[in-house]
Amino acid sequence: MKHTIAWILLFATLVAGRASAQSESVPSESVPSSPVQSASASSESDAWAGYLDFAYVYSSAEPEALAARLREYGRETHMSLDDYITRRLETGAAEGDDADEVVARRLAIARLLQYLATGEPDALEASVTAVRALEGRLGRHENRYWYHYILAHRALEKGHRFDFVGDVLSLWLGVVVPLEAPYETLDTLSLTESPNSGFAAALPYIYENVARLVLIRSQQMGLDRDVDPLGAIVRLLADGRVGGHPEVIPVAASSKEYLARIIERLNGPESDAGSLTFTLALFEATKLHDQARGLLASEGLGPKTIEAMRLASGAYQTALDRADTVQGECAVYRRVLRQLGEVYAAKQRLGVDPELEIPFSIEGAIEVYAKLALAGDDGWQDLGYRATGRESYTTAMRGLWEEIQETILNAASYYLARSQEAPHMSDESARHAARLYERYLSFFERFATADQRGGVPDSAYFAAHEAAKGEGDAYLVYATHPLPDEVELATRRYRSALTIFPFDRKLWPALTGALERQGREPEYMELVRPVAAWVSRSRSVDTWIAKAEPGAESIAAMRRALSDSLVIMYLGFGEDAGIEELEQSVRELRSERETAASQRAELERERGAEPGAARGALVAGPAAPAPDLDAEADAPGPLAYAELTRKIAEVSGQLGKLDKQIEARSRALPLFKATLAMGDLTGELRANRSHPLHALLRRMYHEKRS
Amino acid sequence: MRKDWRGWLASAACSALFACAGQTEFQDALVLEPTAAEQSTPLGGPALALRKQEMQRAHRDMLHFHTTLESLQQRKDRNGLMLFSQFLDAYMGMHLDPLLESEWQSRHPELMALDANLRLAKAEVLIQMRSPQRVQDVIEELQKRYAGREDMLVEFPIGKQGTLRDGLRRLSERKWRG
Repeated sequence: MKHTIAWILLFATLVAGRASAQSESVPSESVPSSPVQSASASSESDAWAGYLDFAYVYSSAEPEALAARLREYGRETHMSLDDYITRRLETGAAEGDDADEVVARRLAIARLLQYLATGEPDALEASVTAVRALEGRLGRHENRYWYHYILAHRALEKGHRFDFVGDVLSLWLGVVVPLEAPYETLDTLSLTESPNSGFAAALPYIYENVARLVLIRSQQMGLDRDVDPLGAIVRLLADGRVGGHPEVIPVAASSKEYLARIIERLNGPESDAGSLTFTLALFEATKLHDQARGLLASEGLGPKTIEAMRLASGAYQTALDRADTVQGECAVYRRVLRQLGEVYAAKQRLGVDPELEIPFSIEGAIEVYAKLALAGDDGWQDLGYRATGRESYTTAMRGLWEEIQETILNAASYYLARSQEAPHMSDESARHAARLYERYLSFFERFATADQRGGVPDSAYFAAHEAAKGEGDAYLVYATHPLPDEVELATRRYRSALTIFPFDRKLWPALTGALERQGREPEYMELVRPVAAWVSRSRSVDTWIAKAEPGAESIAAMRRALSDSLVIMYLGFGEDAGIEELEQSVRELRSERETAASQRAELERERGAEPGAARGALVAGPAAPAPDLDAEADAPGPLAYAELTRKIAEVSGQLGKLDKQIEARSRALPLFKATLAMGDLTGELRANRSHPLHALLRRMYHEKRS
Repeated sequence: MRKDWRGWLASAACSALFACAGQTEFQDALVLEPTAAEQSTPLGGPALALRKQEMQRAHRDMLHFHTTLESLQQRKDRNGLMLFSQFLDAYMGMHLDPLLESEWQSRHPELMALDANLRLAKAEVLIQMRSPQRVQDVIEELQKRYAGREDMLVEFPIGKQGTLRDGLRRLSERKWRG
């Protein structure tokens, strides 16, 4: 009979459980619906007794669902739970010790259900009083389960965190451990549904209830510290216990998925050396962050979004306060920096600037990174990564670096945009952006060293290029009145950017523009030639091209271009002219050469081969006209001959020069043209931080430094 | 009877330690009856399978306990350590020790490796609990039960494999570390 009811309850549980998915997949306790059919044969009080005896099936329901269910049970039995407590449990005649025990247990359960449905602390106290009556009868597992379960709820209500931990551990030790072997025996023999299987059959529900108590209820009740010993219980629950009995509680109705996420965090790189307290706090913050992100997408930076962001950052602060290790601090900063970056991006995109205080700074994140980096080979295990391993340590470092770089770039980009939107503040905003870029560059300089490279992501190098170029732009493009020192600094930054990523075509003319602003155009070749020479001889570039790695064609085109000084000049100064204009200039040179050649031929014909000789005599070459025998009388005299010879030499000199120009331009123009046909490597690298080309930039950077 | 005394002693010790962590009713679990009654005669058939299952589960649980202990140690969580150590004392007294009591399972071909692994896991947990004398007890028990079989393969150190001889040597070297 008891198990028939249980099965009907379970059936309803599944239906309700599937319908009550919550945000962030927090498993909502499924609420069983009516077991009226099975209860119809019993008296009203018997029906309530059945509901209470099987309360472990539905006691973890959300308050509203539980209250609705209790009301429904009341309608079906024609007696509310309150009435049942008053008439049958508190004042009902108890006959003998066994009856006392059963009534006391049911009373304790009934009061607990009232508390869980209404949140009324008096009901919980009444439950505790009732369950205390069982203290002499805790040898019975059912009594012991409810005893510790109720006391754990009271500990949560009172904020007694050590009591809560103690009660959950006691419940495990005194109920779960002794029931596991009998349950397995029953399960092996398919006797878990047997009427005599006893409380052992409740084991899958106990797992589920303990999981929800520790992971969900404790957080709802604000327990945010000192629950770390329960990490063991959470690990045990995840080890084939919760969700491990799909024939009793289907996986979809269990908290298995939620538990798996918690375990992944608990044992993963985003942990605090395995602290459950920290994991739950960070998980809570992440949920709030996701909610804020959803609001940002749907409502922009409105009051609700701002409030949600405040809540999320407050939760991140709590998580940071709970972190005992650098691993934990790193995990919080990785997530909170993402929020900061999102705020800057949203401000820029939406063109609004609401008041929003997020109590985290990029400097704080850099400090955490410094702790990670300085620990090095000898100390990384002491930072919290002992259990997760070196790989997770370097992964965490790279992750934090990426968040730092993206936040800085987003923030700087926001200030650059603001400098354009509010011209009266353009200098101030541009300088703010420049400072942010400068901060990234100093961070990069400090940590992107040969011995620290394990914790530096490949994308850091292109980000350094972006920061250097961004700083140059901030002073030269966005600031209205840059100071001379700032222009000079911007020029240096452009050159740095070119050194890190010489394949950014737009940077070459930007550098000439900067030099022009200072009247230093002639220094262009002097500044860029070392960069071009280095690219031409770089082993990394050579290998990349030889192996036909991604982007190899574009890089090869650029390398060929950089091996020709005329193309380097084109890169710096030819960008504005355009390829058509440059090609036209070659055509003009050829035309000029033809004119000059004709002119020389005419002069040679006019002069003749030697003084007094007939015009056109002994003049070689295809341009030489046939000798004019009738013109002999007009042969130039010695003076005229000398003058003609001088003119011929002059025109020949011009021709030589033109030939050189034509030859050089004919060689350089296709190379320059090839660079114009290059793919937009800069755009690709900016859009994709996992682009394989980032690895080349890393190699080139360290090759150059070595 | 011996186990009851052990439970009471553990309870008393834990109560003393527990003063700063607050009062709980958790200690009373120590006085419960042991959960795995000693089997004086070898099991067979389904009973053997169930024992094996129970030992496998206990081994996995001990590894999870070890992970949690390491975490508490690493974060220097004194209150958490005390509370969890109490729990482990009770768990071992009530459940694990009775499970390891029988002599026959250390010789049974299907269980002996599991039995040794479980004892080694227990010793590792005791090292984390800073109980060198109890680690020594486990070492001596292993030496006595597995005399002449020290070359058998065991899962030790945790997460790796090695011979029992190496495992015992490691335990002897590490028992004072904690």
